[in-house]
Amino acid sequence: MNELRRSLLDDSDAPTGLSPDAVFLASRNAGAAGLLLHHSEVYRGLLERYQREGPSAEIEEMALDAAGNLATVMQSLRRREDLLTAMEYNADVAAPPMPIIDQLLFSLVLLTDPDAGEDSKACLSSEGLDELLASDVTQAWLKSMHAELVFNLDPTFDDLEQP
Amino acid sequence: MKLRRPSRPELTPENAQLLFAQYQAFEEGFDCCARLTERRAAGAPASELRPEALDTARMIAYVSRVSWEAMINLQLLESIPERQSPAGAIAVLARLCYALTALAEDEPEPETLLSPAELDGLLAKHGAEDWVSFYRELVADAEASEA
Repeated sequence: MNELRRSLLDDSDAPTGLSPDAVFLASRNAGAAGLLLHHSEVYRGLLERYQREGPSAEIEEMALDAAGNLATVMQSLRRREDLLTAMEYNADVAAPPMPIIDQLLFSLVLLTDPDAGEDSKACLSSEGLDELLASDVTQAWLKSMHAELVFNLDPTFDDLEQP
Repeated sequence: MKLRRPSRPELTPENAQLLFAQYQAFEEGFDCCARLTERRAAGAPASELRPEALDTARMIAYVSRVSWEAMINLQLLESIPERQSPAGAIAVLARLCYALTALAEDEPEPETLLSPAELDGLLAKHGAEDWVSFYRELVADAEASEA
């Protein structure tokens, strides 16, 4: 079993004294934020290689693996639509920018296109990704949990390959 | 003074086509996800499932990306009639894409897959039943008028 993905779904390191729903949200938000930051850089590298060298089995594997990591957290979060809706209606809470994270995931999936056809042309550009990461909703969410700190403290992310 | 609600801008044929493409992606993606989930449960190896799972995940990703780029244009959002609003459908398509991505992998994380029960309840969970009914009626009417 993929150790990173297991750790993304492991709530045991969440702060104590929280309700089960709060533990779930704290854990998944941290996982999604860490992945968004890390996999944005993975994506930029893969996109640059894809555009320079064309499709390859290696790029396909790496893109699918990164998309699979994001899919693991996103499926888990979207399973709790009730909590996501509650967050959206709470002005004091920054909800995860689900559609924005999805754009990165979709773009990684499109990089598995073996023909470099129409599909891959719909990928986010590097500048488009910059815009999404800099958007108010993304920044507010990342700031709400100090995602870079969470990311840097998680040693399992260091094991991820860079393209 | 009498307040009048501003009229909804007209949905252009191109945008109507884009919204219909989301519906088609749902039908195709749902059918594929249900079938491959069943085959996986019956013991089919990942290598057999991968080509179709990945092709369909890419198809959903493509439609979702193109739709996103169009929808950040506020004019399109304002022009979409209520029953055709794809708000719930966006979540449904994303969840199918996650599951198909997992079905394309050798060792997927089980929680990323959708169970048959989850697939059955997917539209209701994300409030997309009315959306899909609209398009199914549209397709049925079109087929009836062609017959």
